[in-house]
Amino acid sequence: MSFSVEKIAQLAYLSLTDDEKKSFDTQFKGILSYVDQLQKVPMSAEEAKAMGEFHISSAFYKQLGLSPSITLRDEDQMEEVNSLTLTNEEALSNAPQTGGIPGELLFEVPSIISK
Amino acid sequence: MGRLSQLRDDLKNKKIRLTEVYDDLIVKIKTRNPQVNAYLEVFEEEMRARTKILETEASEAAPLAGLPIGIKDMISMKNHVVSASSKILEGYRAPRSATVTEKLKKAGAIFTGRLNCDEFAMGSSNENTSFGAVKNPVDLARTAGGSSGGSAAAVAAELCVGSLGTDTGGSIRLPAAFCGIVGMKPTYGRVSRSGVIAFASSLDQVGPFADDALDCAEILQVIAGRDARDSTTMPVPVENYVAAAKNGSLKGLKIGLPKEYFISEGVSPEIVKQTQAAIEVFKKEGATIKEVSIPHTEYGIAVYYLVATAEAASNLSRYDGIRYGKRAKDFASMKDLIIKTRSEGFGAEVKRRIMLGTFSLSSGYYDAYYSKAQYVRSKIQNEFLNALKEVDVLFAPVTTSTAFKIGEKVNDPLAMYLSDIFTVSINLAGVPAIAFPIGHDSKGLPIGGQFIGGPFQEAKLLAATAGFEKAHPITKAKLACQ
Repeated sequence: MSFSVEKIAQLAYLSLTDDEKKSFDTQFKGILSYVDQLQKVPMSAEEAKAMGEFHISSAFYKQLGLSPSITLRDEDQMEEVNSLTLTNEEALSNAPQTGGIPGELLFEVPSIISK
Repeated sequence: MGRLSQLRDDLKNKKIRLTEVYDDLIVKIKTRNPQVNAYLEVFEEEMRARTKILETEASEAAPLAGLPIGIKDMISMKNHVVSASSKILEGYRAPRSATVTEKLKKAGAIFTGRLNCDEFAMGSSNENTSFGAVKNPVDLARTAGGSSGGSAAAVAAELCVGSLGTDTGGSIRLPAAFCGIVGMKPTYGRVSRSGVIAFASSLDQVGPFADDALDCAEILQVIAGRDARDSTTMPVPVENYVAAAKNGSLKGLKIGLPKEYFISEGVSPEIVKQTQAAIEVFKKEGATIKEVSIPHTEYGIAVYYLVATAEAASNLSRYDGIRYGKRAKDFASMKDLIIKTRSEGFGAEVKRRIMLGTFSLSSGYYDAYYSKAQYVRSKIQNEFLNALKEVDVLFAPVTTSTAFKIGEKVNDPLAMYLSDIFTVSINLAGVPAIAFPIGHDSKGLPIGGQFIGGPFQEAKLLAATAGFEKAHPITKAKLACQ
């Protein structure tokens, strides 16, 4: 099992100092060696695939005899959820930098596409 | 009687005036909080304003009218700062309240302030915070536990009569055990997570801290229920938790003891002793004991630190300095902005977990780590559900030790993770559990035990806890803070 602290940090949009790289490397070696005990549990390819569908509540719905399709919201609930909109001001109230005009505020960011 | 119920009675019977209560409380907070560091922010003005309003508009219908409740810094209150105890969200103001705080407010509760916690709820000792560790009110050199350390310490130090925390891998139950109070993690899907900062979306649950089962029941009664804003909440009726706690008894209760939780290796002998003593109390009170088994318990921590971290890596990808939170000052490009913001804004433990989660989901490792972990998780859930079919509740210890010294485990993340050995599997299964005091060690530090129940069996858990409290009242530990 190879694990590159630098590569993972890149994927996670993190940049580490040299000290952090060193300490994380040691710590991860220990943690990964610990979680490797899961290799002892056999799992077939079908079982692995089935995990894509696993949801913690499925067993509860089954046990309580409830149909998961009840999660589809009724009209009242839809109205409640639809009422939860934010105004332009509210949505941008925590923005580090804004542009545009009041009522039409925009998030200001560095350019993504170079000229 | 717990202080929540006592205060409510006293207010109702006009034995005390609301403004007096808050005058005293604010003084107490000012005196004790510098010692325990439970509150990040105290809502002094707001408390005074609300008591003025409630004193004239006495609404007897509101079940928590006038009661001081603290809120963990992961749970939104409209227009208040909520920061997950993280620099990356410093100053962030919630545009909307969480469903749970809306419900508490409607029930008349007065919010006392924002409570310290581990950053993004990641930790077992409340030391992973840029705002200073929370000290255990019983021994200020020791941790209050985490991640909801502030929520537990505030109740234990009498700086509110109840509080809300969140529990993803034990973050309510462990601090409750360390601080000598009651803390409950409801069933996954019992309480809405809308407006609660997400750590691991299939594990997080909001729950109450209070002096005893009845006080906890009062809070749970208000916050539980299906919520249209959180489709993971389930359409299960809310039972009468208050009645369950009031009438609670151990007599005739079938209690299962999962043998994998009754080990002595790595567990303090005093905890082993107190859990055995609690079991004797159950028997004496007419409960029957049965040994059960959760065979995949040994993999719980490994599963948790792959699944929870994977979900965290996904949930924390939104912190990029674009729409909210801190933004780095110097950056060469958009990508650089994001990387610098995250690297400067997140603490070490958060970075560790994001990276662990990213690894577990990465190409080439996904099957061996994440899928395998989910698979073992499904096994753990099945084992809990099967064990609980034979009994009313399970009983187990909560922690492997009493509150450890601040700084003792900070440099050994794996040792810190292993503190959660008795709590994480419950979150993985999604079932409810309640931690309650069962005794003290020779230093006077609190020891907790936990009842674990089947899905949506919170009433049974509260009844069992109340039954134990009646049969075997535990003297509250003497506080170290003045």
